[in-house]
Amino acid sequence: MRNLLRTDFVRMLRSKSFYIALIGLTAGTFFLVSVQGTDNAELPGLGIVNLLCSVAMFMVPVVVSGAVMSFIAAEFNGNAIRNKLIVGHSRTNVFLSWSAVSIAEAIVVSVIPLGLVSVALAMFADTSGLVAKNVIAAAGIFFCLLISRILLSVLLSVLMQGSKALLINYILTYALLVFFVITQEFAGDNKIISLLARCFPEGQMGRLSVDSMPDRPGLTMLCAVVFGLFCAVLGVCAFKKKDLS
Amino acid sequence: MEYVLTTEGLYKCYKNFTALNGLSMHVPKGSIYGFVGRNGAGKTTLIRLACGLQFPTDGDLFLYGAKHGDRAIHAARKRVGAVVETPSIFPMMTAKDNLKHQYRVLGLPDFDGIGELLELVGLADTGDKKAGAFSLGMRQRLGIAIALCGHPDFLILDEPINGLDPQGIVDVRELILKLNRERGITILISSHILDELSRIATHYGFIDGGYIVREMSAEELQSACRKCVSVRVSDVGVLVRELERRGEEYAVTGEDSVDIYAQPNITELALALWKDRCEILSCSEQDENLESFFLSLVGGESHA
Repeated sequence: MRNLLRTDFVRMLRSKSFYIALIGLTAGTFFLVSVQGTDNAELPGLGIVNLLCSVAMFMVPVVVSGAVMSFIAAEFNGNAIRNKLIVGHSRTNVFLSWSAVSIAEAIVVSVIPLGLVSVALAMFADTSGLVAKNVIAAAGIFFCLLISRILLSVLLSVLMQGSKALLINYILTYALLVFFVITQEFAGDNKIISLLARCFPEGQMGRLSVDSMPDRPGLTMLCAVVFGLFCAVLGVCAFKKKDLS
Repeated sequence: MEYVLTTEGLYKCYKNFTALNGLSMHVPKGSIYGFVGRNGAGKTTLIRLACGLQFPTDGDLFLYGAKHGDRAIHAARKRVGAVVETPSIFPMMTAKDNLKHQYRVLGLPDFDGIGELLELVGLADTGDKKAGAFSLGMRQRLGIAIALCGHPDFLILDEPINGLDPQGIVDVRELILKLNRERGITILISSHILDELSRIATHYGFIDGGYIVREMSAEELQSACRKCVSVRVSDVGVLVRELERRGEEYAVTGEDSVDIYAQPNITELALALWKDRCEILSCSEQDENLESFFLSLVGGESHA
């Protein structure tokens, strides 16, 4: 397992997708925040932080899951995955290593741009209205949802075995967005849909803010963690049964 | 005899298609095992199972005595290197980086030996060229180099000379022989090029329809394929006595037929036999090579 982690971390740090995601997200976040800040001179610091929440809930999972999936797809596309299995690494360990490296990549790629923008906001905008516990709750929800989304991406990568997983990921993101927008409009009180919305970043878009304490943050984090674990277990089981060519 | 890989009644089914149909094979330690079969016979499926890329539907597979499905098989696999069909490489990496990656996968403490491996497979001067830009032959060599990382005891090569030029084929042949003789590596090699296989294999497994039709050593195959003169006579006893007197090697193959493993002077033989009133009824030269032997085993409708 240690060898796999070392191998995957080295490859991740040398992959183009990692730096494209990092630079793209940082540039995109700064661009959005600066455009909004310039266009709405009256927009208070709190409003910009809420915009940051929306960026975090939509852009970060899409970009990071894309980077993670192309990282895993590279192993399937060149059949390099075989080299790990032939020399005796178990499929469970391979899956867990991918998951660990992907989660680490997601955290690095999201923390750096969001952190930099947050520092810039703290320096140049009025953020005096921020309540620490609201920010902590929002950050907790964001990271739990991000991790569960990454585990879903790893699961999809294993099931699809290659670059087509990327396409499926974007279709899924779009479908989830549409689904939660429609259901929020027409079936907002439905408990199952409400629980589902707590499992996906797309379900929390527009709901997460730092103006007030998010709705039942503990439940949202629990749903995200349980869904993430479910994806991981399903991924391990599917990978252990999968015939590789 | 000690075996590196053993399978007993191995089955592999894909939906409605049975790729392996009760396959039993035995790869002796230290051998170069030539795995011969026509397209779709199940060679690559067996190799995938042996490498842990796929799982048998039924039957047993033992690698260094560790049974498939047991935890011990993971340790046994650490002694294996393989090239399955197409080489498993990262196209965006250089040859050296691909080998470094495999060294990390194996948990080797340093990158010593990478230069030697590249030299061994003739890729030492590829520099910063990405593996994706390599020719098929170069990729095949890189695949072999990756398989050799960590000094495996058992090397599995699926069609290793596919895409190689004549010089490349000679190089790979010499490499295989060198690895087997100098490092004692057991090699399982599947190939359609039977002539090439016959130059290196010490043991053979002939597969058809998902099961092993016959396993034999190179000596047994040579004996089965060697040139002989097949003679039908009116009295086999007289011919046998004459051949014993001459010290010729022979085999009685029927009530009136004998195979003589030599090039006898037929006139002299006929005159000697006629002294005892034994007639030569017919006489023909038999010459079987690996290809014709294979076709005689599995039927000649398809190509190997």
